[in-house]
Amino acid sequence: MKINFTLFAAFVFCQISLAQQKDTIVSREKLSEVVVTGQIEPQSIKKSVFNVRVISKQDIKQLAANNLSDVLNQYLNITVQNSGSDGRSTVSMFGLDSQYFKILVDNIPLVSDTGMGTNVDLTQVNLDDVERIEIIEGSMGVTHGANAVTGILNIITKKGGANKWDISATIQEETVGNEYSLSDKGRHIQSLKVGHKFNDNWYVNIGGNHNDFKGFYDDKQGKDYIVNDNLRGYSWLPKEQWVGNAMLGYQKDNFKIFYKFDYYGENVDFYSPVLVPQDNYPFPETFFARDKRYLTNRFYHHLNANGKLFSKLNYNVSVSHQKQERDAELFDYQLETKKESNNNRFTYQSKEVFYSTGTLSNFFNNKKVDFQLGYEITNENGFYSGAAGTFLDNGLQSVDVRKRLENYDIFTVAEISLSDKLSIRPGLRYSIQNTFKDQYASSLGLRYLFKKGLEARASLGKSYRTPNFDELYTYFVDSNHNVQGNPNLVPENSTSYEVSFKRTCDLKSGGQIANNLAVTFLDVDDRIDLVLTQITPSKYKYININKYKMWNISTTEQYAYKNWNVKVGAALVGISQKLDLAELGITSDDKFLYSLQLNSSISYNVPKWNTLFALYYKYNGQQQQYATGTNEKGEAEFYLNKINPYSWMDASVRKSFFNNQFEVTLGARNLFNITNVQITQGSGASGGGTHAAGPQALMLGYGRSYFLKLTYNLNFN
Amino acid sequence: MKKNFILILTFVFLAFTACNNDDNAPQSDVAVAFAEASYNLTSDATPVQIKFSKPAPVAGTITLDVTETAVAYTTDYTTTPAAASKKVVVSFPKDATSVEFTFNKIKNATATEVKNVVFTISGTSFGGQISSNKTIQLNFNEAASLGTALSPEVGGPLEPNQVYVDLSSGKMTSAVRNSWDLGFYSGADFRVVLNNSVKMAAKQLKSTNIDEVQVVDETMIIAQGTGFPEQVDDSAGDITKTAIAAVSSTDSDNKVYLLYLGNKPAAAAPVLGKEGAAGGDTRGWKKIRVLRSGSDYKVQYADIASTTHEEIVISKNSAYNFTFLSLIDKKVVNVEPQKNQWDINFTTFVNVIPNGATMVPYFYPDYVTNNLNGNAKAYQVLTSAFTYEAFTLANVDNTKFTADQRNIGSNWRSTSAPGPDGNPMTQFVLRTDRFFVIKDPAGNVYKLKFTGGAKADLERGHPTFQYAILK
Repeated sequence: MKINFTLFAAFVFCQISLAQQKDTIVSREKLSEVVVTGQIEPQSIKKSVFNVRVISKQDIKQLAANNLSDVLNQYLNITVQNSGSDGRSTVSMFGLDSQYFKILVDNIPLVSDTGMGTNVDLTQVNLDDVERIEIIEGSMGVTHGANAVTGILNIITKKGGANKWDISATIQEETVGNEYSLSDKGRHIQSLKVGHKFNDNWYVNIGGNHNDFKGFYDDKQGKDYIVNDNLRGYSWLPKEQWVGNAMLGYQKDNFKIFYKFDYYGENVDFYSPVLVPQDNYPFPETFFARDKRYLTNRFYHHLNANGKLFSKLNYNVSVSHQKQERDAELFDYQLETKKESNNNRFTYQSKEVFYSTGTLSNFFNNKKVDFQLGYEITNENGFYSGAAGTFLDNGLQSVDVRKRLENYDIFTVAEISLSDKLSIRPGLRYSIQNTFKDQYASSLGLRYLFKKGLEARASLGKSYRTPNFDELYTYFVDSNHNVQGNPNLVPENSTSYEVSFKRTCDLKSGGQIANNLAVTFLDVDDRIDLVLTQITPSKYKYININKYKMWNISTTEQYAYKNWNVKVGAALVGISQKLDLAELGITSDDKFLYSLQLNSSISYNVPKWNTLFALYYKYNGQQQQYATGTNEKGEAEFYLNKINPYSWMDASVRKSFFNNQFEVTLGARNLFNITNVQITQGSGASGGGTHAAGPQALMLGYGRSYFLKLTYNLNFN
Repeated sequence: MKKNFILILTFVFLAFTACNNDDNAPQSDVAVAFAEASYNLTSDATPVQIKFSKPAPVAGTITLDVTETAVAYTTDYTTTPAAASKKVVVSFPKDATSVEFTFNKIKNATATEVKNVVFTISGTSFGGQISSNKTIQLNFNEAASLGTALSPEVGGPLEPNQVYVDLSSGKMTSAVRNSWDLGFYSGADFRVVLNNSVKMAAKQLKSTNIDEVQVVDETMIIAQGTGFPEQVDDSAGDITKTAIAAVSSTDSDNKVYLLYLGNKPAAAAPVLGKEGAAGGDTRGWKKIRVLRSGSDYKVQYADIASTTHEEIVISKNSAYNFTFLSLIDKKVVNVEPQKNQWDINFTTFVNVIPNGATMVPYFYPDYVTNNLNGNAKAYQVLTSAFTYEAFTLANVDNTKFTADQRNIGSNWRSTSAPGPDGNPMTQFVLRTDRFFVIKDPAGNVYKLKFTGGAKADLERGHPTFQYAILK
């Protein structure tokens, strides 16, 4: 609370010290924007029935964010989970992982190794061509289908440009913690964007990006270290990424069409800390290591058309084909000769999706009632190699899993304006599934505009999460083990409720204040977990068993005055989980465990210098969670684990030269120098037994880092 | 510009001189060593091999110094090429990976004589490094091995064999794990052990009537966390703590036992990297009753549903620890070598370990026991205390030779490696931070280090080790 007060005081102080200056750099964020996510038609954020949060292009620029992971750290209610050792970072919202949160690009879900919109590695989402990011919290099953449980994030890409030619080239150099060198340390980014308008109708955007993360050594010694003491390799794996995208668009009158192509390539190297000796008697042993490389390729095609039918009905149709394939290449690295041998490359996981969605609206030509009819078709072909999970047959031979998931959904939404102030929005989706029981989702939204800029919203939404491959198809049965997936699992069901108030007012002094207060409740039932279903002999199986409840109160305050822009937010999240250990006969305490998050950003523009200063801060309070352990008697018991609080702070200065042609951003990430955060285990959780767990620390970051970004913009007509 | 030019010139010059220095280096990166450290001469002409760590860079010679113990050149032995003034010079062509000379034994040693010749590599014509084994000792008499490298054939991921190793002779004896069920102790006590390499368990019944019909008891099956410690033999190897009670001379004290015969190895090799040592079909159930018959054992046995039984008499043989019986093949089978002719056994094993607060039997592949009944003992040394190379007889701590056959056990390897996602993954890992000290039944003390347990492609069940005598 002390922090909040300090920030507020800083804000007040700043307001007093303001000086009148003229804008030359675009610094003022619009407090009223047009949003599209979950809307029948694009409309102002004020009129939206949903409470839409926006991450602006300005924020992305100021954080020098190259991918989604760089920007979401600062967002309230979202935690970015990094796995430095495989280089993936995923989103966790309200304590539920990335399987419950859906990421879309231009309103269609983005394929990942294992999901459609879900389980997306945030570092694989490049932000070069992004206009803004819209986030809606809560279950959005009606408009966005399966797995939109905790919320959705929709990336709106840039279409067309202001000039005949828009060319922009960027070089970005970053330290990784305190490690940097041009050749083998740090992070090195290069990118190029070209936009061209052929005429008023046709435009094309082309871009490329190369992001070379050389890994974080920490106390590790890199790949050529030849002592077998667990120090070989990297603390965070080196990762090299290539992005290429192209968009061709046409627009005339009410008709718009675009085709977007996106390529993503990635190479992650794992250097094993375990050196394997080779007997070379009578000479000393030689050593090799069993190393691994993951190669990812993603191809994304999206064709979208929208316009008017019979000069009345609005239609919007998207067709997309996406494929992401992750290959593993195993090889032996001989330390003495530094040569690779026995290279064996195979497809590890892949997902190929045909997807189409479309809507028809504006049936009544009536401003009071809008009605939308939509469909969504998803045809996913997923592949897991036997090496990607525990998929064995009875002879203990590994089995590849290849399954096709199809769903054909129809949905309908009506938006009825009972008056200028009151809008009501019911929605319904029915989903025909080939693998699971047919699902449905429903929603109801209300929006009321009070006087003096006060807006009130209420919504109810339902969604569901479909089981993943591990949960469905794991099979490992031998004389010592019996662990089984369950093809009869049913999707987990969620319901969310949100009430929110927003107030925006323009002050006479020219300032603007916006306040937002939201209370959310989310309930997920039939959660899937792997539990002991028989004690002697022991059998483990995935079943629908656990319960989850969450409530959350959050508030954000935004002040814009002259050259200042200040945002302060706070969220209190209470999570209740009932974990049931089935045959062991105990369930966890389902009391609500609370954690607090605060965030704030301050930016100040100095027009005379063409310079913008920005500071981002987020505080993550202590988080608590029940985890199973074994007591002295050897019985299973629940212990309350605590994750210590930690803070993120990023700061940057951006200055433009020569009429905005040249832009320099200098900044620092992770000013509090966070690397790992300790998990305090509940007393007594000694973790004995035959398969004990190691010490607990959560990997969060690689420490304080600095970046310099140079951009050259060339715009002409 | 001129300045720069001079600078560049200096660099070029430096680069040239650096190259020259390299060319003149006296040390080659090729090492030479004897293939063995010692050898007991059996035939008249014995080839002695010297190995190169890489193909020889040039043709040349290796010079060996000769040290004799109670022997004389030409009377007791000669060499080809011949020795001159206690030196033998062996020549080799370019690209040779090994070279041999021949040792010709002329006169044998008598039973009490100690006669040997030691050859020491004193130099090479090309500046090769001299690695251990720098010397080889050729014994005319029967002498304990000074050490070598061995690869016990346990037979791959199903580990079908038990391999008994005698360090002092370098001899390995293999037995099929699945071929026997019970071992009858040859010592003073009347004791019966179970074949724990196949996960056997024995439960004492109330009855003394072998012809009573019995039913299976599935709680006896040893699986993850199941089974009972009292139904398996003492895992430390204490012969007085077997699952089957000492055989009494009073017949009415000898109860019937229900035997679970465990599991066979899996029918086919498992996924590469995993083991399938007990992944196969069940070996079934039997009932037995063991009685004394003078100084012999009398075994009554039958299938559990049978109302009749068969009988076999087993005699003690004091040269061996045990006499082994197969209940399935109904005959005595050969398993262990004589009790003073093996030191360590590569086998699968049921250990008893804590599972929470209770103790449970737990199955281990890639296990090594020492011959406790034959008085071979072992202990572990971490390289943080001593390196393998620097460890000598003076460093041996005799108090650590405890009466436990598991002192090597599974300590030489683990099955958990850090995975790319940060979580441990199952994978055979050789522990190179330790070695073992072994005292054999004759009192020779060896240091032993494991150099492998799986093939390069991770196929399990391929252990290799090296050992050297401590002096």
